[in-house]
Amino acid sequence: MKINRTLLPYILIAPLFILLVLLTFYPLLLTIFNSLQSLNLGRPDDIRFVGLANYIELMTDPAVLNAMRNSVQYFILSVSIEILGGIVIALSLRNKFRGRAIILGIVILPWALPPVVNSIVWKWIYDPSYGLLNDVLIKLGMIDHFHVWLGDPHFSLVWVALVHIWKMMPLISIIMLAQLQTIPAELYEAARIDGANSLQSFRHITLPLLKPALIIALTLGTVSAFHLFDEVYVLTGTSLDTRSIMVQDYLIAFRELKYSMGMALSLIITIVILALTWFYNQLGKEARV
Amino acid sequence: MRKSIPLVAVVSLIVLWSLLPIYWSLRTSLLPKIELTTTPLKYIPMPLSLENYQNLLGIGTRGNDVWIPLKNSLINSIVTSTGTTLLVLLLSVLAGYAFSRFAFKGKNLLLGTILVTIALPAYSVMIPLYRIIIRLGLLDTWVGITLIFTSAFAPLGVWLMKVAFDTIPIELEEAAMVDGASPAKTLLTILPLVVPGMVAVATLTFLSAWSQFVIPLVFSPQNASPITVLITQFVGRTSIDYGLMSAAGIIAIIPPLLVVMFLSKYLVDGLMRGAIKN
Repeated sequence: MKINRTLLPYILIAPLFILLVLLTFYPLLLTIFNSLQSLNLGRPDDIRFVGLANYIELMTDPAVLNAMRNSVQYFILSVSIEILGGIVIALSLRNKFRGRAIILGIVILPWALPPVVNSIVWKWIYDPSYGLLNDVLIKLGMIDHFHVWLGDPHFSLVWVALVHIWKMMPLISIIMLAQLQTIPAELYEAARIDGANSLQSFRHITLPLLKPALIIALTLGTVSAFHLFDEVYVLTGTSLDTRSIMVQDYLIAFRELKYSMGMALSLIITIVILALTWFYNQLGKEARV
Repeated sequence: MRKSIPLVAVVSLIVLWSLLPIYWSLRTSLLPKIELTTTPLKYIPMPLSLENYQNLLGIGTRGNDVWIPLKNSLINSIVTSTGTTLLVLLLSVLAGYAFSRFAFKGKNLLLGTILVTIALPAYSVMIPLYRIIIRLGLLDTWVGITLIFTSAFAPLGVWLMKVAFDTIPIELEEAAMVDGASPAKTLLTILPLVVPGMVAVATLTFLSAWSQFVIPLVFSPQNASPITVLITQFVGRTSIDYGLMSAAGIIAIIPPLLVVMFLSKYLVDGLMRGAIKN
């Protein structure tokens, strides 16, 4: 049988597209529509169109605002540390040396592990009585008494963020490294002949040419920071000090069973993420002109 | 290039940062329970004890208490992660080939529509999806989880496969087609050339599926629940048994560890290609 060549590409894409329509596009449309209703499993008979009421209620709910504030802190902490650390790691691994492939494997490892397992690993490190962190810091003389790291109302968020950073920094490093490897060595050669020191080379060659990778790193870092759930859930449960916006959304939708409210919140997060991503891309375009 | 001492120091620190937490967990899993709560802390698991692993594997004092749920969750994780990997691979090879090799109406729109779902958080569709999955009778089943994972990870796979096909010269297929080969046979002729791309897609998909927590927490809370969900249930019990949990964690990281050990080259290449071509 001869298959029509004009139809063939559609046939090849069809299985995936049908799956996406069923499990992504259709539910997305439902999310948008239902977020304007009063769908609540606690009151199953009371389904009305409520306009933006859910959105307004969310924006005035202290628990939601608190979780948003936490998520913004996660975002700023994670993205800045991941990018700075990522650049340092990429710069240290850019030149070929013996055993580099193994080192790259080790660097990427934390990213490959389930965040749930990472969180359990770190939870025991943070343990106030028998944890590695207290023990090491006491031995180094950096603290004088044991700290309850995850119980600290001001800093527990930082310790949760660190576990997330431990996972994400490898990915950012690899992306930076990929971009670094596209920079021709001749550029550095020329700069050196012109008398530039290594700091000047970094400032005027590496940093500008790293920009595309920086944009990708910003995007990935932002998306993953706003999606933060597993680490928070395992390390500190639903504690208000560390509760991220995704944990808040989970609580609203699947514990309180306020479906419409949960959908509205997930759309707010999606819009924030898409807006930031769009903004980064604009930055990238500006840089190219 | 001359190796400088600061560079060696930085690389050592990076290695320490990556491996120390994992080592600490391994050490915790290998110490007898009593040694976990004595000071000074033991940095090396001496005396070594396999008690936690024996309990997990049903040959210890706790009988099959932990082994049965662990075994079930491991099977669930393996089946859903492998199933997702194969399905994503199939769908993204087909679609990636179409987007790379054919000119057709609506191509850019279709590709854009598929790719934009990568930026979409799973949460934005999760609640209606929950109701759809219930209606399909797929809640808490392997099929349900596998289909959801596939819809989430296939778009990136399509992109990586398109990039992989783009780098293969078209002359090879033209030669095959002149010889009268069918489209299926033509695709099979060049498939060996995109194996590195396929391995990258497979590793990325497998690792992502293996790591998932929230989706299974909602969509397969019991019968089909994977190892990630089971481990968090250990926390909820009366007392937290860190030795046992660490041992379960070590078992859960064996598959990703093997993937990184043997396939990190493809993984790193895939991540680099996917990122830079974006």
